[in-house]
Amino acid sequence: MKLSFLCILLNESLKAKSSNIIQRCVNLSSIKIYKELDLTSSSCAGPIGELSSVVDELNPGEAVKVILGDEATVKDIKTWISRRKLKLIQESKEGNKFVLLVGK
Amino acid sequence: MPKRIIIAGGNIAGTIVANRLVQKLKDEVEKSDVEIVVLNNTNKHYYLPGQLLMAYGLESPEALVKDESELLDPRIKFLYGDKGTITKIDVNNHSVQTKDGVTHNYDYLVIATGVEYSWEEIPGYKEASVTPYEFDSALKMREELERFQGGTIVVNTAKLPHRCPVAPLEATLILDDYLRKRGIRDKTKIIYTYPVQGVFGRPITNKFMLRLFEERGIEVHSPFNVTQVSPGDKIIESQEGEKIKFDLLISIPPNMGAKVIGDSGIGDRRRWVPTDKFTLRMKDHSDVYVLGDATDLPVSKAGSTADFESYVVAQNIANEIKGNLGIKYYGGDVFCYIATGTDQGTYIRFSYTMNESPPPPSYVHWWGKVMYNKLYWTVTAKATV
Ligand SMILES: Cc1cc2nc3c(=O)[nH]c(=O)nc-3n(C[C@H](O)[C@H](O)[C@H](O)COP(=O)(O)OP(=O)(O)OC[C@H]3O[C@@H](n4cnc5c(N)ncnc54)[C@H](O)[C@@H]3O)c2cc1C
Repeated sequence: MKLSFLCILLNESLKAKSSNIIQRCVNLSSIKIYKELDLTSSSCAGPIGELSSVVDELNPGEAVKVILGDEATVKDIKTWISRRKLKLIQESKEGNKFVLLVGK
Repeated sequence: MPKRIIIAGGNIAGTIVANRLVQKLKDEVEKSDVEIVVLNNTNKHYYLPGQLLMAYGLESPEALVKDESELLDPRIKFLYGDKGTITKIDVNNHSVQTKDGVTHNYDYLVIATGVEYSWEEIPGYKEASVTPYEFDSALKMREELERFQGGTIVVNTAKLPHRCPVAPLEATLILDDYLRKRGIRDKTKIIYTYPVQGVFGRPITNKFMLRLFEERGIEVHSPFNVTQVSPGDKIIESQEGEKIKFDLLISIPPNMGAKVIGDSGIGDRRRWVPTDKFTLRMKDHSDVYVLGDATDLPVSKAGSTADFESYVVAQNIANEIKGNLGIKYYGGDVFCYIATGTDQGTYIRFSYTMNESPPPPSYVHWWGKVMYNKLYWTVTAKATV
């Protein structure tokens, strides 16, 4: 299977408006991970505080890989992503951890 | 050839870890099997936490600066000035270069080069504000507050992360109490502006502090990401489109890692050094450790953090040299006193796995903070506990 092109169904859009399913195709191989942020344990500035300073540094074509430990934080981060008009490039699960790729 | 441990940076983190290392490797240092070298650009050691109190006239300037050479154990080799100013850290060749042109090879390197402020990121910010984050500006802040008779004071945090994450809360709450005690609080509007929603990143502290801010009548504008300040008109502007007119602006400047980290190509774009959160080793370099404000860890950039981390770094280097001492891991431990007025305080203690539970503000915790500051020179810096 060729993995260079992945089409991602955005779950939250599906839930919000079933008639308006947004399907985004992202060329993942062209995205460079600028930094990996492990926010599974408690952090000082809180997950959004930690992430906000890193996304400011992103260049076009780059993403920050965020590793989270619970669904409530995933939800908070997704709300923040849409408020800040950022891109949720990919969302996946690795074991019991949630992984988000966030770009500008 | 003795094994050489180089400590890059000799303020809070570098001093504590150097003193702890010499205690753990006493015999080896005395037999010249191990050499511990601290490199720092000056012989002045600044106790930055005291600057916040100094800005409100609660601490004297001379209590905050000492000679580094008096704080380091005499068995440590200390170089400063051009001899101690590092121009390049070469982790691939296990060496650092100093401004006098000398290359120093190491067996172990400890990076403790801390923070520098990148004022230039926000046009007008430095000219228009006073800050407890810089010694001279903290003194200027004290003078401006003494002259202040009423108006609008904005407390602004430019970017996260920054040293002492609780300092913006403290600066605001001390200010409120200071103005009340001078009888001009009713003539003053205090506005707290912060880059993320709320007043602090951690939910428990945020909730606790929001209540306190509300009780004290402090306005909160967040998220507020400052983009520019006009020193003439005294207006601060945010990415979110807000413009606030002020009479006095108290700033928390944008923080970055030290310039040498960028020049050496070993940091991220904000010059934080990629660090393993448990071992405190620089990622991909097993002979390099990082502690204090220099790391890219999502923990508080605080003196207490550096102190907690120093046990791990000192133990693990000593264990590698001597063997059979056991390995320590850093659990994300942080402890911060939070002044909530000019004679009251609370504290937060948390780690990777434990949440904080701040007690109600009291005089007892204020004294805890004052005593912790006073004991810094004789106990903490000298790593006597
Ligand atoms: C206003 C304020 C209030 C604070 N309050 C508290 C508090 O209440 N509690 C608390 O725990 N913490 C507090 N802090 C935070 C605390 O001061 C810092 O976390 C602490 O200073 C970090 O120590 P460090 O040694 O890692 O970095 P730094 O103190 O920044 O030291 C880095 C050292 O490296 C040197 N250096 C840098 N580049 C080079 C180079 N190229 N060559 C040689 N030397 C170099 C610098 O000169 C400096 O001496 C406060 C900070 C401020 C500003």
